[in-house]
Amino acid sequence: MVQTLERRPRISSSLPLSMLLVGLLSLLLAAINLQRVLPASEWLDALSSQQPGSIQELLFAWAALPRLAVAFLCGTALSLSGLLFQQSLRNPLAEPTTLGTSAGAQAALLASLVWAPGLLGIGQGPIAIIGAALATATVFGICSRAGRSPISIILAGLVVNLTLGTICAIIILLYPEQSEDLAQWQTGRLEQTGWMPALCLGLCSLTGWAITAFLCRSLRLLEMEDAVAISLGMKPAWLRGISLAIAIIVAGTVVATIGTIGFIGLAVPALARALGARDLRALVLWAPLLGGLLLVLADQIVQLPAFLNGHFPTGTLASLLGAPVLLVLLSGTRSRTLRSASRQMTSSRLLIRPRHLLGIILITLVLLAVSLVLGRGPSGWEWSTDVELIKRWRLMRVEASLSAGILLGISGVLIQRVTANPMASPEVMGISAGATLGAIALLFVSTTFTSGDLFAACAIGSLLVTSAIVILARRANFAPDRIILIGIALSTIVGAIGAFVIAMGGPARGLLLTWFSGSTHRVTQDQAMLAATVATLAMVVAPLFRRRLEVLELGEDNARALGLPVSATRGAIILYSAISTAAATIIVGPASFVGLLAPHMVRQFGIHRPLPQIFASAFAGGALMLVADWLGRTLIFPWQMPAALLTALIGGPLFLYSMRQQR
Amino acid sequence: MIPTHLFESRIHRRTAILGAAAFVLQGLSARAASTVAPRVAAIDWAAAETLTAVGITPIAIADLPGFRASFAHLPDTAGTIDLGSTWEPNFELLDRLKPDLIYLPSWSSLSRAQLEQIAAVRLCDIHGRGGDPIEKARSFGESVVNELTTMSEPSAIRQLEARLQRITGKTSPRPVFLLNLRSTSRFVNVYAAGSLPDSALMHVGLQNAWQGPVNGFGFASIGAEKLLQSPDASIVILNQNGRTTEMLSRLEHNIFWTSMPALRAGRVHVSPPISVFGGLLSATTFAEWLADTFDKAT
Repeated sequence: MVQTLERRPRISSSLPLSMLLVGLLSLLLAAINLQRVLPASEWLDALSSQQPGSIQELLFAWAALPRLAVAFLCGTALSLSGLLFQQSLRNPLAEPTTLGTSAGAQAALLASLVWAPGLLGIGQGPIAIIGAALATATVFGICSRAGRSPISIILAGLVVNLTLGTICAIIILLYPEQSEDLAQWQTGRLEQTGWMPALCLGLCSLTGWAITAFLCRSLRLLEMEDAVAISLGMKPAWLRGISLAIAIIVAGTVVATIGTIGFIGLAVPALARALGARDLRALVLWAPLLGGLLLVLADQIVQLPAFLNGHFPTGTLASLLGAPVLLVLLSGTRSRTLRSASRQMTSSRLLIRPRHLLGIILITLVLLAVSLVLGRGPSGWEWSTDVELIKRWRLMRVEASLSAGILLGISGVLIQRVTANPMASPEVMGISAGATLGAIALLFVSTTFTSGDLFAACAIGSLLVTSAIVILARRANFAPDRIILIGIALSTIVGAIGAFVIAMGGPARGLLLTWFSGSTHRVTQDQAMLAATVATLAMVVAPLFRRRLEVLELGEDNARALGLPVSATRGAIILYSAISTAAATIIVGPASFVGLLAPHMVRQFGIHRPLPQIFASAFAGGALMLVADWLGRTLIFPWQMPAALLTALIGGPLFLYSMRQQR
Repeated sequence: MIPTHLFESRIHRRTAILGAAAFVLQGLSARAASTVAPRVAAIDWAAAETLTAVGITPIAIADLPGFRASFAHLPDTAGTIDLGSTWEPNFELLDRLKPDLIYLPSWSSLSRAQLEQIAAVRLCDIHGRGGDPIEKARSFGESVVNELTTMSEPSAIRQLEARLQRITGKTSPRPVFLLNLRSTSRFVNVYAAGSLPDSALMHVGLQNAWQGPVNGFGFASIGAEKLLQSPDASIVILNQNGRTTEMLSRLEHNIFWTSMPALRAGRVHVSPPISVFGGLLSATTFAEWLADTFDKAT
């Protein structure tokens, strides 16, 4: 407290010092790498000649140097964009990848690549910027009534990201050949064959930087409440609009130039703050510089021959390095933004009566019957009476998807309750990431594995990650925000590795793509039985948590006063939901987001007490998954759509709509 | 001139395969006796091409629209049914079509247990398993012939083998890049060991200029600047119809590409449309074009 009251210089000396260090290191590496291309004595000649004379000159002046420039400019642009988003939304977690901006740009580029390749000839920049603007506008549009509370914007961004990712996955599924380039964009590779991209990007981001610097004094007012700013004669809406526009255009141009590089926009401003940039003016000056230098450093490391012979994508390395940095940074400072607006209990409570229960059972039975019997065959829609056929191909898929949905629905409620955070979900906790890691590890160990091996690898992966989370979180007394941060960092690292493996192509690509999209296509009778057993057990055990959850809801201190061992309770609940999530992930992959959607759907109906919420969410999750699996089998017959893709595609917009209606 | 020792070794191998096939044939003896065409489903494209080449039209092929686009040189597959994506073929539909035999790519053998509930499954290992794809396509082709045809006349596979034989080592050894253009000038896909185009390249006596790592299908996405690592190499651009034309026109304005030694010296060749995931027929067509092109280009 005393420290903050003291007058401090605007920046401490550690920032310029570390900047110097990063700068020198990246310059040194760049010099080594450039020297390998062309001896230093000939650099000036190569630069002065209009047309490259030798091959070395061509490589130096038309590949290596533009790459250096692009690396710096991308880092600058992303840091600037992240900074502007954070400043104008007053939200430390805002950046192009959390607000859907990058995903929007990418989806627009992919769509034009597949359906209108001619458009790309005009220029990728405008397409990417339009996509970025649309996606970001969607996020804001949904949150407009909520007064842009940080939590709702991040949540909406997450779901928009997810929905766009799903759309991309469907395009990849339907047009595997044409969409191969998407994989290269997603890993963020910086190879260049000319100065054009660097020039466009430079023009765009330097202009943006200049405008930001010019507006710096006014932008600081955005830190205040809007009413205060208005009373000072400012127009915060205009200011916010301008800075968001710059942030979107700059981020969209980066995606058009090289693809998505995550975490720079989030980590660099945070890093600059941690190193001592105290106010906006210092941040505007230093953060883009730091970001540029850091990305150059990462890119030069990637180019060292010792480092996988230059085949590792820069963006993947940036994510791998950025996620832990972010984790360390954020764990030092308690981020309140993640916890705000958590307990908004509405008074409208729904009492579940026997006739409701009857209705639920009836609906489930009807859904089950329809998904088993109604289908498409060679000659169109039909009611199948061939019991043998149903038993052989449909029964286990129905059983598995229903169980997975139930499991995700239950663990979604539990995790949201125990972390007191409406945006928490099993998918965000990193357990699914563990399962994915198991699948990827198996790909590297063996090329001739069975689906049983895959099942085992995923189970081991998710159990390892779960125990890691429990061990790490125990030190923090299972503090809710810590658990979520660990999960986000883990998911990002796994996502980066996954994108890299997909970009390499080869037989592994198809497996990972289907794994990520979560299909019940290969589920066997045994696996379905296992999932059903776990789901039944989960429903039987759930009532045991009822009292504890109700006490936990009173707040940590009250719970302790009532004699509840808070840490132990949280640990037990987390372990329980981790096991449920692992079993479900193995069936429907890491990205169904049923664990997020089902509890929210239930809350929309006004079901708030723990036990009814758990069972209602289990039912909602199971029904969602069941319907998605049936649609996936019939919608584009004989092609199939993975069930989890469909839950994300239907559930995402539904979720956004209900979010908009809510406030 | 065909070296006789090669001929002998081929005969040797064929008898070995015949032995293996005889075992397989027991299961299909009823089919072999009758003259009804066998009902075969192909989840593997190379297998589908091979089947069509020996005169058997598959009753169902996975990703049929994609197959038709990549294999435009094959006779029309009008009555064939689409099975859905290669990675997730529709088991239920396949079961109802009651095939006698299913050809599955060996990299997708994860589905094998489920497919075996429907019919006998044969793995096609031309792609994605390393080794020499032409050699594998040849033995695969012969296994198809032995299992599914009556062998009364010289098979199409043997004709293709003869065509390949004629151009073995026909060109002088020169380094060549086999490229697939991407939507940006910054990257190319380069094909090397383990891919069908590379196998054809080796067969006619050329060398592959890309010695770096490749994925399981024998290609890698590399930065275009890596092509300058061997500046003397020729470049073959694998034609994918409209897309390739468009990419090429875009490269005309790129100084980096127009300054490449290969382009300046006229050592860039655009192939006729080829299917990199094809079988012996695709390999033979491509190898003949290579031999022809590099014979003239001396």
